[in-house]
Amino acid sequence: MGVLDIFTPKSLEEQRADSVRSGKAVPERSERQRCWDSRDAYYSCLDRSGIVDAETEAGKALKKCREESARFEKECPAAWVPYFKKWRVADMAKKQKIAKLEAMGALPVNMDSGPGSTQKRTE
Amino acid sequence: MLRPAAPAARSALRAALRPGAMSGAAKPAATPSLASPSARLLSTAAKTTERQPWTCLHRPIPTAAKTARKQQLGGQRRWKSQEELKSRNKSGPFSWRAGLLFVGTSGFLLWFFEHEKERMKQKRMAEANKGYGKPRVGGEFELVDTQGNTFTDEDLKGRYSLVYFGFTHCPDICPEELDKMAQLFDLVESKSPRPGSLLPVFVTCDPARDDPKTLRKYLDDFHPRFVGLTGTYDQVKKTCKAYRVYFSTPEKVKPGEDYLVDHSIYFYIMDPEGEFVEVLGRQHSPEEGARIILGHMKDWKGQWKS
Repeated sequence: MGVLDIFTPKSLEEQRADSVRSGKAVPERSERQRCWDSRDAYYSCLDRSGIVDAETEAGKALKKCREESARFEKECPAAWVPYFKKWRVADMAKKQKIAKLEAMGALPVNMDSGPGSTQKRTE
Repeated sequence: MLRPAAPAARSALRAALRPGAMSGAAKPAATPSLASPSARLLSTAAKTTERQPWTCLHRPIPTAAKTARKQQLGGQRRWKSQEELKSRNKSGPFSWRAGLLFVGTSGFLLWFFEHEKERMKQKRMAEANKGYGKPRVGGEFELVDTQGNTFTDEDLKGRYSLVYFGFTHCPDICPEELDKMAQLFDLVESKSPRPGSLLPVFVTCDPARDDPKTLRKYLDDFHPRFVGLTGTYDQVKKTCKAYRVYFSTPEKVKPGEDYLVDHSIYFYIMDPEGEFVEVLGRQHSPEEGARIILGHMKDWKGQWKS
Protein backbone atom coordinates (compact mmCIF):
# COMPACT_ATOMS: atom_id res chain seq x y z
CA MET A 1 0.00 0.00 0.00
CA GLY A 2 1.77 3.15 1.15
CA VAL A 3 2.58 4.91 -2.11
CA LEU A 4 -0.63 3.68 -3.68
CA ASP A 5 -2.69 5.62 -1.12
CA ILE A 6 -2.79 8.73 -3.26
CA PHE A 7 -4.25 6.73 -6.10
CA THR A 8 -7.02 5.07 -4.14
CA PRO A 9 -10.21 7.08 -4.55
CA LYS A 10 -11.60 8.78 -1.48
CA SER A 11 -14.64 7.24 0.11
CA LEU A 12 -18.02 8.86 -0.53
CA GLU A 13 -18.09 10.16 3.02
CA GLU A 14 -14.75 11.83 2.63
CA GLN A 15 -15.79 13.34 -0.68
CA ARG A 16 -18.93 14.69 0.89
CA ALA A 17 -16.99 16.14 3.86
CA ASP A 18 -14.60 17.80 1.43
CA SER A 19 -17.32 19.43 -0.58
CA VAL A 20 -19.07 20.66 2.56
CA ARG A 21 -15.81 22.11 3.83
CA SER A 22 -15.05 23.83 0.57
CA GLY A 23 -18.55 25.27 0.34
CA LYS A 24 -19.45 23.31 -2.77
CA ALA A 25 -22.21 21.39 -0.99
CA VAL A 26 -24.83 22.74 1.37
CA PRO A 27 -24.49 21.21 4.84
CA GLU A 28 -27.41 19.07 5.89
CA ARG A 29 -29.03 19.15 9.29
CA SER A 30 -26.77 16.46 10.78
CA GLU A 31 -23.69 18.08 9.29
CA ARG A 32 -24.66 21.46 10.70
CA GLN A 33 -25.18 19.87 14.10
CA ARG A 34 -21.74 18.21 13.99
CA CYS A 35 -20.19 21.55 13.07
CA TRP A 36 -21.98 23.36 15.89
CA ASP A 37 -20.94 20.70 18.40
CA SER A 38 -17.30 21.00 17.39
CA ARG A 39 -17.61 24.78 17.55
CA ASP A 40 -19.02 24.65 21.08
CA ALA A 41 -16.20 22.35 22.17
CA TYR A 42 -13.71 24.80 20.64
CA TYR A 43 -15.41 27.72 22.42
CA SER A 44 -15.22 26.00 25.79
CA CYS A 45 -11.54 25.28 25.26
CA LEU A 46 -10.99 28.96 24.48
CA ASP A 47 -12.93 29.81 27.64
CA ARG A 48 -10.71 27.52 29.69
CA SER A 49 -7.59 29.07 28.17
CA GLY A 50 -8.81 32.63 28.67
CA ILE A 51 -8.85 33.44 24.98
CA VAL A 52 -11.50 35.75 23.61
CA ASP A 53 -10.37 36.40 20.07
CA ALA A 54 -9.04 33.26 18.43
CA GLU A 55 -7.91 35.31 15.42
CA THR A 56 -5.68 37.86 17.14
CA GLU A 57 -4.45 35.21 19.56
CA ALA A 58 -4.17 32.56 16.85
CA GLY A 59 -0.84 31.18 18.07
CA LYS A 60 -2.00 30.74 21.65
CA ALA A 61 -5.35 29.31 20.53
CA LEU A 62 -3.65 26.72 18.35
CA LYS A 63 -1.26 25.73 21.11
CA LYS A 64 -3.88 25.42 23.82
CA CYS A 65 -6.72 23.99 21.74
CA ARG A 66 -4.96 22.04 19.01
CA GLU A 67 -7.33 19.11 19.07
CA GLU A 68 -10.53 21.15 19.30
CA SER A 69 -9.33 23.51 16.61
CA ALA A 70 -8.57 20.63 14.22
CA ARG A 71 -11.99 19.11 14.79
CA PHE A 72 -13.70 22.47 14.40
CA GLU A 73 -12.01 23.07 11.08
CA LYS A 74 -12.73 19.55 9.92
CA GLU A 75 -16.44 19.59 10.70
CA CYS A 76 -17.33 23.12 9.60
CA PRO A 77 -17.28 24.70 6.16
CA ALA A 78 -14.14 26.78 5.78
CA ALA A 79 -16.15 30.00 5.43
CA TRP A 80 -17.90 29.41 8.74
CA VAL A 81 -14.72 29.09 10.81
CA PRO A 82 -13.67 32.77 10.78
CA TYR A 83 -17.32 33.75 11.07
CA PHE A 84 -17.76 31.77 14.27
CA LYS A 85 -14.48 33.12 15.65
CA LYS A 86 -15.60 36.70 15.03
CA TRP A 87 -19.09 35.97 16.32
CA ARG A 88 -17.62 34.86 19.65
CA VAL A 89 -15.79 38.16 20.06
CA ALA A 90 -18.88 40.19 19.20
CA ASP A 91 -21.12 38.09 21.42
CA MET A 92 -18.80 38.39 24.40
CA ALA A 93 -18.54 42.15 23.90
CA LYS A 94 -22.31 42.35 23.78
CA LYS A 95 -22.72 40.30 26.95
CA GLN A 96 -20.11 42.42 28.73
CA LYS A 97 -21.83 45.59 27.69
CA ILE A 98 -25.19 44.35 28.94
CA ALA A 99 -23.67 43.23 32.25
CA LYS A 100 -22.04 46.65 32.65
CA LEU A 101 -25.27 48.46 31.91
CA GLU A 102 -27.19 46.25 34.29
CA ALA A 103 -24.61 46.92 36.99
CA MET A 104 -25.26 50.62 36.45
CA GLY A 105 -28.94 49.98 37.03
CA ALA A 106 -30.14 50.05 33.44
CA LEU A 107 -33.50 48.48 32.77
CA PRO A 108 -34.27 46.54 29.60
CA VAL A 109 -36.51 48.44 27.22
CA ASN A 110 -39.71 46.71 26.31
CA MET A 111 -39.25 46.33 22.58
CA ASP A 112 -42.76 44.98 22.30
CA SER A 113 -44.32 48.32 21.57
CA GLY A 114 -42.79 48.64 18.13
CA PRO A 115 -43.32 46.61 14.99
CA GLY A 116 -44.05 43.00 15.71
CA SER A 117 -45.65 43.87 18.98
CA THR A 118 -47.08 40.98 20.92
CA GLN A 119 -49.59 43.32 22.49
CA LYS A 120 -52.97 43.68 20.90
CA ARG A 121 -53.03 46.95 19.07
CA THR A 122 -56.03 49.07 18.28
CA GLU A 123 -56.03 49.70 14.59
CA MET B 1 -75.58 61.73 63.63
CA LEU B 2 -72.81 63.74 62.12
CA ARG B 3 -70.88 65.95 64.41
CA PRO B 4 -69.29 69.11 63.08
CA ALA B 5 -65.67 68.29 63.55
CA ALA B 6 -63.62 71.08 62.11
CA PRO B 7 -63.45 74.35 64.03
CA ALA B 8 -64.18 76.23 60.83
CA ALA B 9 -67.37 74.31 60.38
CA ARG B 10 -68.30 74.95 63.97
CA SER B 11 -67.78 78.68 63.63
CA ALA B 12 -69.79 78.62 60.43
CA LEU B 13 -72.54 76.96 62.32
CA ARG B 14 -72.40 79.54 65.02
CA ALA B 15 -72.47 82.29 62.44
CA ALA B 16 -75.51 80.69 60.92
CA LEU B 17 -77.21 80.59 64.27
CA ARG B 18 -76.46 84.21 65.07
CA PRO B 19 -79.49 86.48 64.77
CA GLY B 20 -79.99 87.88 61.34
CA ALA B 21 -77.26 85.74 59.86
CA MET B 22 -79.70 83.75 57.80
CA SER B 23 -81.90 86.72 57.12
CA GLY B 24 -82.43 87.96 53.63
CA ALA B 25 -79.87 86.70 51.12
CA ALA B 26 -77.10 86.22 53.68
CA LYS B 27 -75.62 82.77 53.70
CA PRO B 28 -73.24 80.98 56.04
CA ALA B 29 -69.78 82.46 55.72
CA ALA B 30 -67.93 79.24 55.09
CA THR B 31 -68.82 76.88 52.23
CA PRO B 32 -70.62 79.41 50.10
CA SER B 33 -71.01 77.07 47.19
CA LEU B 34 -72.75 74.50 49.33
CA ALA B 35 -75.01 77.04 50.94
CA SER B 36 -78.14 76.59 48.93
CA PRO B 37 -78.23 72.80 48.60
CA SER B 38 -77.24 72.37 52.23
CA ALA B 39 -79.95 74.78 53.28
CA ARG B 40 -82.41 72.65 51.38
CA LEU B 41 -81.03 69.54 52.94
CA LEU B 42 -81.25 71.12 56.35
CA SER B 43 -84.88 71.92 55.91
CA THR B 44 -85.69 68.37 54.95
CA ALA B 45 -83.54 67.07 57.77
CA ALA B 46 -85.40 69.31 60.14
CA LYS B 47 -88.71 67.71 59.25
CA THR B 48 -87.54 64.22 59.94
CA THR B 49 -85.48 64.82 63.03
CA GLU B 50 -87.62 67.39 64.75
CA ARG B 51 -88.29 65.34 67.83
CA GLN B 52 -84.73 64.22 68.42
CA PRO B 53 -83.22 65.34 71.70
CA TRP B 54 -80.69 68.17 71.65
CA THR B 55 -77.49 66.22 71.78
CA CYS B 56 -75.72 66.95 68.60
CA LEU B 57 -73.88 70.17 69.17
CA HIS B 58 -71.01 70.53 71.53
CA ARG B 59 -72.46 73.47 73.28
CA PRO B 60 -75.97 74.66 73.61
CA ILE B 61 -76.87 77.91 72.03
CA PRO B 62 -77.31 80.27 74.90
CA THR B 63 -78.87 82.96 72.79
CA ALA B 64 -81.66 80.85 71.36
CA ALA B 65 -84.37 82.65 73.27
CA LYS B 66 -82.84 86.03 72.56
CA THR B 67 -82.60 85.19 68.89
CA ALA B 68 -86.27 84.44 68.60
CA ARG B 69 -87.10 87.67 70.39
CA LYS B 70 -84.78 89.71 68.24
CA GLN B 71 -86.18 88.22 65.12
CA GLN B 72 -89.63 89.11 66.24
CA LEU B 73 -88.41 92.61 66.86
CA GLY B 74 -86.74 92.85 63.51
CA GLY B 75 -89.89 91.63 61.87
CA GLN B 76 -87.94 88.93 60.06
CA ARG B 77 -89.32 85.90 61.68
CA ARG B 78 -88.24 82.74 59.92
CA TRP B 79 -88.84 79.97 62.34
CA LYS B 80 -92.20 79.04 63.67
CA SER B 81 -90.85 77.94 67.01
CA GLN B 82 -87.73 77.49 69.02
CA GLU B 83 -88.02 73.78 68.43
CA GLU B 84 -87.85 74.26 64.71
CA LEU B 85 -84.87 76.57 64.94
CA LYS B 86 -83.08 74.09 67.13
CA SER B 87 -83.75 71.13 64.98
CA ARG B 88 -82.95 72.98 61.80
CA ASN B 89 -79.50 73.86 63.00
CA LYS B 90 -78.90 70.73 64.95
CA SER B 91 -76.65 68.98 62.50
CA GLY B 92 -75.24 72.03 60.75
CA PRO B 93 -74.45 71.55 57.05
CA PHE B 94 -73.74 67.90 57.75
CA SER B 95 -76.28 65.15 57.44
CA TRP B 96 -76.24 61.60 56.25
CA ARG B 97 -77.61 62.74 52.91
CA ALA B 98 -74.88 65.32 52.48
CA GLY B 99 -72.32 62.72 53.48
CA LEU B 100 -73.70 60.23 51.02
CA LEU B 101 -73.77 62.84 48.28
CA PHE B 102 -70.19 63.80 49.05
CA VAL B 103 -68.90 60.24 49.07
CA GLY B 104 -70.92 59.36 45.97
CA THR B 105 -69.71 62.38 44.02
CA SER B 106 -66.10 61.86 45.05
CA GLY B 107 -66.28 58.21 44.12
CA PHE B 108 -67.77 58.98 40.74
CA LEU B 109 -65.21 61.70 40.00
CA LEU B 110 -62.37 59.44 41.05
CA TRP B 111 -63.66 56.65 38.85
CA PHE B 112 -64.22 59.06 35.97
CA PHE B 113 -60.74 60.57 36.11
CA GLU B 114 -59.06 57.19 36.42
CA HIS B 115 -61.14 55.88 33.54
CA GLU B 116 -60.32 58.89 31.38
CA LYS B 117 -56.65 58.67 32.26
CA GLU B 118 -56.53 55.03 31.19
CA ARG B 119 -58.44 55.79 28.01
CA MET B 120 -56.11 58.64 27.09
CA LYS B 121 -53.10 56.44 27.78
CA GLN B 122 -54.42 53.74 25.47
CA LYS B 123 -55.20 56.28 22.81
CA ARG B 124 -51.71 57.74 23.07
CA MET B 125 -50.17 54.26 22.81
CA ALA B 126 -52.25 53.48 19.75
CA GLU B 127 -51.22 56.78 18.18
CA ALA B 128 -47.58 56.14 18.93
CA ASN B 129 -47.72 52.69 17.40
CA LYS B 130 -49.74 53.67 14.40
CA GLY B 131 -47.20 55.97 12.87
CA TYR B 132 -48.08 57.74 9.71
CA GLY B 133 -48.76 56.09 6.42
CA LYS B 134 -48.14 52.47 5.65
CA PRO B 135 -44.64 51.07 5.37
CA ARG B 136 -43.93 50.40 1.73
CA VAL B 137 -42.71 46.87 2.15
CA GLY B 138 -43.33 44.29 -0.52
CA GLY B 139 -44.53 44.80 -4.03
CA GLU B 140 -43.97 43.36 -7.43
CA PHE B 141 -41.38 40.69 -8.01
CA GLU B 142 -40.76 37.79 -10.33
CA LEU B 143 -38.81 34.76 -9.21
CA VAL B 144 -38.63 31.02 -9.82
CA ASP B 145 -39.95 28.40 -7.41
CA THR B 146 -38.32 25.05 -6.65
CA GLN B 147 -40.20 23.34 -9.49
CA GLY B 148 -38.73 25.86 -11.89
CA ASN B 149 -42.02 27.70 -12.42
CA THR B 150 -42.32 31.46 -12.45
CA PHE B 151 -43.56 32.82 -9.13
CA THR B 152 -44.67 36.43 -8.78
CA ASP B 153 -46.21 38.59 -6.09
CA GLU B 154 -49.61 37.65 -7.56
CA ASP B 155 -49.04 34.08 -6.39
CA LEU B 156 -48.82 35.29 -2.81
CA LYS B 157 -52.31 36.74 -2.87
CA GLY B 158 -55.45 35.16 -1.48
CA ARG B 159 -53.82 34.02 1.77
CA TYR B 160 -51.41 35.30 4.34
CA SER B 161 -47.76 34.76 3.63
CA LEU B 162 -44.72 34.65 5.83
CA VAL B 163 -41.68 35.72 3.84
CA TYR B 164 -38.15 35.04 5.01
CA PHE B 165 -34.88 35.84 3.29
CA GLY B 166 -31.77 33.74 3.71
CA PHE B 167 -29.30 31.45 1.97
CA THR B 168 -28.56 27.77 2.13
CA HIS B 169 -24.94 28.17 3.23
CA CYS B 170 -26.07 30.17 6.24
CA PRO B 171 -24.00 29.20 9.32
CA ASP B 172 -26.37 29.60 12.24
CA ILE B 173 -29.20 32.11 12.16
CA CYS B 174 -31.17 30.96 9.10
CA PRO B 175 -31.35 27.31 10.15
CA GLU B 176 -32.54 28.31 13.60
CA GLU B 177 -35.09 30.69 12.17
CA LEU B 178 -36.29 28.17 9.61
CA ASP B 179 -36.85 25.61 12.36
CA LYS B 180 -38.87 28.27 14.15
CA MET B 181 -40.78 29.01 10.96
CA ALA B 182 -41.64 25.32 10.58
CA GLN B 183 -43.00 25.15 14.13
CA LEU B 184 -44.93 28.36 13.62
CA PHE B 185 -46.37 27.12 10.35
CA ASP B 186 -47.53 23.84 11.90
CA LEU B 187 -49.11 25.73 14.78
CA VAL B 188 -50.99 28.05 12.44
CA GLU B 189 -52.09 25.15 10.25
CA SER B 190 -53.41 23.18 13.20
CA LYS B 191 -55.23 26.11 14.77
CA SER B 192 -56.46 27.99 11.75
CA PRO B 193 -60.09 27.36 10.77
CA ARG B 194 -58.95 27.49 7.15
CA PRO B 195 -56.00 25.22 6.34
CA GLY B 196 -53.66 26.54 3.72
CA SER B 197 -54.31 30.15 4.73
CA LEU B 198 -50.62 30.74 5.40
CA LEU B 199 -47.93 30.42 2.76
CA PRO B 200 -44.40 30.02 4.12
CA VAL B 201 -41.93 31.50 1.66
CA PHE B 202 -38.14 31.39 1.67
CA VAL B 203 -36.37 33.73 -0.73
CA THR B 204 -32.68 33.16 -1.25
CA CYS B 205 -30.29 36.08 -1.23
CA ASP B 206 -27.66 33.89 -2.85
CA PRO B 207 -29.04 32.95 -6.28
CA ALA B 208 -25.61 32.09 -7.65
CA ARG B 209 -25.42 28.98 -5.46
CA ASP B 210 -29.06 28.35 -4.58
CA ASP B 211 -30.69 26.89 -7.68
CA PRO B 212 -34.23 25.43 -7.43
CA LYS B 213 -32.93 21.92 -6.77
CA THR B 214 -30.53 22.97 -4.04
CA LEU B 215 -33.22 25.06 -2.42
CA ARG B 216 -35.73 22.19 -2.45
CA LYS B 217 -33.28 19.83 -0.82
CA TYR B 218 -32.36 22.42 1.79
CA LEU B 219 -35.95 23.37 2.63
CA ASP B 220 -37.09 19.74 2.92
CA ASP B 221 -34.78 19.59 5.93
CA PHE B 222 -37.14 22.03 7.62
CA HIS B 223 -40.60 21.63 6.13
CA PRO B 224 -41.69 20.04 2.84
CA ARG B 225 -44.33 22.72 2.36
CA PHE B 226 -41.92 25.65 2.41
CA VAL B 227 -41.93 27.51 -0.89
CA GLY B 228 -38.40 28.29 -2.03
CA LEU B 229 -37.78 31.15 -4.44
CA THR B 230 -34.71 32.01 -6.42
CA GLY B 231 -33.92 33.76 -9.70
CA THR B 232 -31.26 35.80 -11.37
CA TYR B 233 -29.15 38.15 -9.34
CA ASP B 234 -31.17 41.12 -10.57
CA GLN B 235 -34.51 39.48 -9.85
CA VAL B 236 -33.42 38.68 -6.30
CA LYS B 237 -31.98 42.14 -5.86
CA LYS B 238 -35.26 43.69 -6.97
CA THR B 239 -37.23 41.50 -4.55
CA CYS B 240 -34.91 42.31 -1.67
CA LYS B 241 -35.24 45.97 -2.46
CA ALA B 242 -39.04 45.75 -2.49
CA TYR B 243 -38.98 44.09 0.94
CA ARG B 244 -36.36 46.52 2.22
CA VAL B 245 -34.03 43.62 2.83
CA TYR B 246 -30.35 44.34 3.09
CA PHE B 247 -28.08 41.68 1.66
CA SER B 248 -24.42 41.56 0.80
CA THR B 249 -24.09 38.83 -1.81
CA PRO B 250 -21.14 39.49 -4.06
CA GLU B 251 -22.40 39.88 -7.61
CA LYS B 252 -19.50 38.20 -9.36
CA VAL B 253 -18.09 35.15 -7.68
CA LYS B 254 -15.41 32.91 -9.07
CA PRO B 255 -16.62 29.33 -9.39
CA GLY B 256 -16.00 27.33 -6.26
CA GLU B 257 -15.32 30.37 -4.11
CA ASP B 258 -16.96 30.18 -0.70
CA TYR B 259 -18.49 33.21 0.95
CA LEU B 260 -21.12 34.19 3.47
CA VAL B 261 -24.08 36.49 2.91
CA ASP B 262 -25.06 39.11 5.40
CA HIS B 263 -28.78 39.78 5.30
CA SER B 264 -31.78 41.05 7.25
CA ILE B 265 -33.38 38.39 9.42
CA TYR B 266 -37.02 39.38 9.76
CA PHE B 267 -40.12 37.42 8.88
CA TYR B 268 -42.48 39.57 6.87
CA ILE B 269 -46.19 38.95 7.36
CA MET B 270 -48.11 39.89 4.20
CA ASP B 271 -51.89 39.96 3.99
CA PRO B 272 -53.98 38.25 1.27
CA GLU B 273 -53.83 41.39 -0.85
CA GLY B 274 -50.06 41.37 -0.75
CA GLU B 275 -49.87 44.31 1.65
CA PHE B 276 -47.30 44.36 4.41
CA VAL B 277 -48.77 43.69 7.87
CA GLU B 278 -45.85 43.49 10.26
CA VAL B 279 -42.56 41.79 10.97
CA LEU B 280 -41.62 39.03 13.35
CA GLY B 281 -38.12 39.05 14.74
CA ARG B 282 -35.76 36.83 16.67
CA GLN B 283 -37.52 37.79 19.91
CA HIS B 284 -40.74 36.06 18.91
CA SER B 285 -41.23 32.44 19.84
CA PRO B 286 -43.10 30.21 17.36
CA GLU B 287 -46.11 30.32 19.71
CA GLU B 288 -46.12 34.12 19.83
CA GLY B 289 -45.67 34.38 16.09
CA ALA B 290 -48.51 31.93 15.46
CA ARG B 291 -50.76 33.86 17.84
CA ILE B 292 -50.02 37.13 16.04
CA ILE B 293 -50.70 35.63 12.61
CA LEU B 294 -53.89 33.88 13.73
CA GLY B 295 -55.03 37.18 15.23
CA HIS B 296 -54.52 38.95 11.92
CA MET B 297 -56.32 36.16 10.07
CA LYS B 298 -59.30 36.49 12.39
CA ASP B 299 -59.45 40.22 11.72
CA TRP B 300 -59.20 39.81 7.94
CA LYS B 301 -62.36 41.02 6.24
CA GLY B 302 -61.22 40.69 2.64
CA GLN B 303 -61.13 37.88 0.12
CA TRP B 304 -59.53 34.49 0.57
CA LYS B 305 -58.33 32.23 -2.16
CA SER B 306 -60.87 29.44 -2.46
